[in-house]
Amino acid sequence: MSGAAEAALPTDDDKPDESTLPWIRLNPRMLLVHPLREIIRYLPLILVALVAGSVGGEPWWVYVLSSLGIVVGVLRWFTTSYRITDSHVQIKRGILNRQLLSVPRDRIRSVDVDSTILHRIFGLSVVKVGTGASHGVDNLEFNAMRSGDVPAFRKEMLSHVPRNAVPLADAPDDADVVVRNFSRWRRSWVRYAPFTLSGVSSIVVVVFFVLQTQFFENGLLTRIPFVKYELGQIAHLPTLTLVVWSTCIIVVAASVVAVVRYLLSYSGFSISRVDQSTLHITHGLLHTRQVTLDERRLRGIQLSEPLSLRAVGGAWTHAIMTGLGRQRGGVALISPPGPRDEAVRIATEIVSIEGALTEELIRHGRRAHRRRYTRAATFAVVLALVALAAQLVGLVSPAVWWAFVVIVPGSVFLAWDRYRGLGHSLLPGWVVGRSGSLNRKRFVLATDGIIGWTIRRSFFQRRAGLATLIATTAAGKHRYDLPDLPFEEVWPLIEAVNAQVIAVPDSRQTSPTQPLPRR
Amino acid sequence: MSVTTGIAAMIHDPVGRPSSRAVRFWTLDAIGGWTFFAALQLLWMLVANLWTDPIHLGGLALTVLVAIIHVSVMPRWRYSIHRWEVTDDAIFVRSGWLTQETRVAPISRLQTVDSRRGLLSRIMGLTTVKITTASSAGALTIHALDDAVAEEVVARLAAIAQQNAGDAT
Repeated sequence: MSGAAEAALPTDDDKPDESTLPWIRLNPRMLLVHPLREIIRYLPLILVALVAGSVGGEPWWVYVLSSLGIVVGVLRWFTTSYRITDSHVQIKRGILNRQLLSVPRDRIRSVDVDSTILHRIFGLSVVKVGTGASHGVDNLEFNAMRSGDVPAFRKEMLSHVPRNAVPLADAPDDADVVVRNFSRWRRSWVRYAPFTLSGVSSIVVVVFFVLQTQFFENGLLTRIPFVKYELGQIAHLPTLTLVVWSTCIIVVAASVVAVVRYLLSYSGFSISRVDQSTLHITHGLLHTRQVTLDERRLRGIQLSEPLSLRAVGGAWTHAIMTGLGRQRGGVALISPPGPRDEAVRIATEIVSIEGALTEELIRHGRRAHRRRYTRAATFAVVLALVALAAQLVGLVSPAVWWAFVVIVPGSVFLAWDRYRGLGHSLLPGWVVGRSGSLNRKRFVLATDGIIGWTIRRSFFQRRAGLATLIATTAAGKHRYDLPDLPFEEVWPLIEAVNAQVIAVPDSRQTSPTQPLPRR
Repeated sequence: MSVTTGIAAMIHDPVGRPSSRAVRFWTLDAIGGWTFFAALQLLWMLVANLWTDPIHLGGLALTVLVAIIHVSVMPRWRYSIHRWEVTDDAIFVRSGWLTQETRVAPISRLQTVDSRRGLLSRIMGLTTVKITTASSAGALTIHALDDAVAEEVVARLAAIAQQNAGDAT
């Protein structure tokens, strides 16, 4: 633990580095990559603007916005420079707010490589140097450098790491390593894609965007003749036909979108051990990623099995890690949506926690059970009140009540399934929790990664004698919830976890022979 | 050092309470907030020239009603809930009113301690102490302490933070 200790304390290293080394700019090819990225980002907007332009009422702000993006992209290259001195890594950046990041090299804990398709076309990689500090404030990002330079850079960055487990000097060059891919990803796994609902979420985003343009540009879309004509046709169809048809269209469209997205992002998924402490995770036609996964950073596993995916026996897993930055939720994907057994197997390859992912959990009892149904009923009642109000005002026809034929049994089912999913358990070294139905997640969190507890009780939870116990940690999304635990079990659980941490003081940090925790 | 005993001991309530002026502070703070909100509503009515519109008048009346309930209930309720304690092993803070939270952090995980004083709290001589760990979800905030008490707490915790070993990052 000695390494992480220094990160918390101000040391002599904090004094400014007096080096006179010159500042270096990032790879000049970024002058092309930055603007292209901005254009791609604004592409949907620009398309809509062009369509809109053909019927008058051109949304000029789209052009202003996208050209502004390009200018900023170019400026970013000119304003970012870095240097690596004997003792520090420094980055200067920022267009309006100039920022100087200076990190002592002995605090560097990880080097992650992450590149988009655009970077790869130009032979570039984004390198992120992590310091183990959790808030991501002093995470150094080199966007971008030549891919060929990365192995050497990586080695240099990590040469100061006081790591007992990995003799980096002796580590073979990346090129010589025989790596075994232990993912069994197949193209046929794409059959799970429609069940991940990623297609539905994409469609929701697009629809929201279109409606927003419609709203801000005074009915722009309805002025397009084609749309106008189609809307006229649709208005004449009977409601039932309309509902059936639109459902079919949405299901098909969402599935297609999901399949395409799946293939784009997970094609050729491979995960392999480069050296004792580094996992190389590559996936996607678009994206490659290389993650340093070592004992200091790994804090657990998260298994996601949303209702729809669970129905077909699928799941996916992430590794919960520190220092990945909160934008990505602090997790690294280790197994894409696919068969559940495979998701569990990969997790077990990385940390021996098989039982934690498969064993039965401790249920939260009768009161938690009742609360699931109370909440489902509340939801249905609120919807009913909204429907009633809308009807009284004359917004909707009485046919809206037919929706409750679906809503009521649906919420009862969700309540039942949510209770079934609710549970926790305490294994030696790990806390396990599971909750949710539509988006069920099971987390396995290392007890020595837990750095505090929050016991949260709403008014209704107090009346029911329940509490939500939240374990806070520096890894992943920083908080892992055990919802609706019987209140009398809360303190004993906290004590039990703490007793474990005390009994095995920092076992993982001081085991030089075992690079990854295997329990 | 044993955190267990520290935490087991905490099944009783933590002993520290906010300043005796905290109730007044929360009352004034809430009145300020509601006044601002009502002023916005009035401004809207002024700009749109809807002084007699029943919906707007109803909205204003609702604001006043909710404000009165909130201002008369919240501060006392809060005061009866808020507790804090710093033992040799851990820090405990309880806060909230409708939704209540108890936060525990082993003292060995403490990272930074800062005190903050807004305009109103400066006038009233109150300080809020915020204690962070390496987790962004786990900050402990001790609200509305007397300045002197807060200084003491900050000094003590800062001393502890200096000696700390790991922060589990």
